[in-house]
Amino acid sequence: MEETLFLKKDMYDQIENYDFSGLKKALSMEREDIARQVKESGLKGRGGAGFPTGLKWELALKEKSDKKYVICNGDEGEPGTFKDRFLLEYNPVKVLEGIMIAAYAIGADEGYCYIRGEYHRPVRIFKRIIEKAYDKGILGKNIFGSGFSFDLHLVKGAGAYVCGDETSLLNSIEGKRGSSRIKPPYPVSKGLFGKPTVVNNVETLTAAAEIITNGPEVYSRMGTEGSRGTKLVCLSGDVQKPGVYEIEFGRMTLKEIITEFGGGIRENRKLKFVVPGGISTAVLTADEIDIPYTYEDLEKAGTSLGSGAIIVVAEGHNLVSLLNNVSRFFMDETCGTCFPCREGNRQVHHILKSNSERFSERDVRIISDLGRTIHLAARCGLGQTSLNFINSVFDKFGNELMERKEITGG
Amino acid sequence: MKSLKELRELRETLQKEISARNSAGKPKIIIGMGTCGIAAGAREILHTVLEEIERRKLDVVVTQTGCIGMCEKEPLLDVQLPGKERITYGNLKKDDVKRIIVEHVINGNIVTDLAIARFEEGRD
Ligand SMILES: Cc1cc2nc3c(=O)[nH]c(=O)nc-3n(C[C@H](O)[C@H](O)[C@H](O)COP(=O)(O)O)c2cc1C
Ligand code: SF4
Repeated sequence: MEETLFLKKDMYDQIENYDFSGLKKALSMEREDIARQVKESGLKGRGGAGFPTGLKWELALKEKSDKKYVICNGDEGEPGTFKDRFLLEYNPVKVLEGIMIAAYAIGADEGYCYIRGEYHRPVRIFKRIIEKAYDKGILGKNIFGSGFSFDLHLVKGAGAYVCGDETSLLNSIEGKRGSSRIKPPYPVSKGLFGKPTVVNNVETLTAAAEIITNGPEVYSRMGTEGSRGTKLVCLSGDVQKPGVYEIEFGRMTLKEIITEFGGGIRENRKLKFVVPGGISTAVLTADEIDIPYTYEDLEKAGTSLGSGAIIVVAEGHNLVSLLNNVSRFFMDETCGTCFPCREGNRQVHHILKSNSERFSERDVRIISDLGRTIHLAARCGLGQTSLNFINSVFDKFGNELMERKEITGG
Repeated sequence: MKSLKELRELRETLQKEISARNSAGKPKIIIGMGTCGIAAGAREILHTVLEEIERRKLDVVVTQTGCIGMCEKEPLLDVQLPGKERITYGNLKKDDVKRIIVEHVINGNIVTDLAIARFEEGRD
């Protein structure tokens, strides 16, 4: 099977080679119509939460304010995810176009592109694109003589996973500590510096640019009812050919993605499990991956598509050490605002660390209870999803992890 | 500790100690141990590094880091020689580790066919 090329079709890394036809088309349209077309396309946010993009733009457009912002979220902190880096390196011109279309659509005149600090090369590339865009009058005042003006700034993250969460990201740009805000108010009504703000993922904005350029029908024709269009998946771990692949929703199963694009498991080992959407999603065992790759099918299987990070894990890894690795990540990355998330993840790590081989039923129950408590009490997605991986591994590989019950006589 | 003066003195000596620890001038090997790295075999790479260092009695600092968004190139290993550029090696196998240690860490020559990036901090 072949990749479905939509985002990967016409990629531009040089601003000179592109005429910004999508942006020009947008500038000739009514603002409402842009949001409507994006709505019709069925595009959902690709940053993990899957919120309908057109609706977000429509809500932001309706907000009355002297100032609005657009933010491109390129923090990409979820382990296993590298599609935004791919776009920023190979297709930065379309990313820029997406940001500008979003800005025009909601009536924003200023924006930020927030890129993960470790991404030195994408930062350098995107910085140059912004400079050149100013030189050519594509950014700045009265763009293409349309009367629309827009300024774009680049901000580098400082390596905190929680800053990928949109409200933490707003704090981070404002120069405050990177911790989440209480919602509501949502960023669309009170975002950056208290003004209406649209935060969108890099891939979302790139898709929006292509949708406006090519028309919403092209996009809505692809995929399934609940999952329109294409998705960039990031294949990593124990596969022969890791990389970024573009998939039309519903055309392939998760299994086919791994065997056909990934070239199967390395060194002919057996598949143990798959992390289908980054380490904040529940794992699927080898028997559970014969399902179409869509939002709805993964949800039915009790997990989520997340950011599109598919991490393949073969037999032969130490499960406890993997659990420890994931737990350590969340313990380090919690911002500490909500007590259950801060202390709960620490406790879970403590339990996992103090058992090198087998866990008692009590341990597993405590971990599961903590998971539920954190999920209910957490203010942001980090806490809510922090135990998905760990609990699902206990759930599915309990027989390998739990103490064997001794049969005591009498 | 009784006076502000003592506090200042203490701070000075401790700061010196800390900077001595940092700029010890030792070569550094950094291994990507994010979940994606481990799934791609980073633990084996770490063990091989430790074995090689032990076998050759090298004075090298080995540390770990998390996922840096280059998951498709895992397992990753960085070599930082004192005063030199930090080089990232990717898609590593056990045998590659031996080459990197002999050619780069010991002899100071970058193994170009395995290198995938140069740390670009400060260039942008
Ligand atoms: C802990 C946490 C980390 C997140 N990291 C990212 C990220 O790295 N990139 C991203 O686009 N969205 C991330 N999100 C989702 C954002 O909060 C937000 O939903 C998204 O940027 C909205 O854009 P979209 O609608 O285009 O997906 C994260 C959310 C949470 C809770
Ligand atoms: S859930 Fe965790 S990461 Fe999110 S705001 Fe609360 S403490 Fe911070």
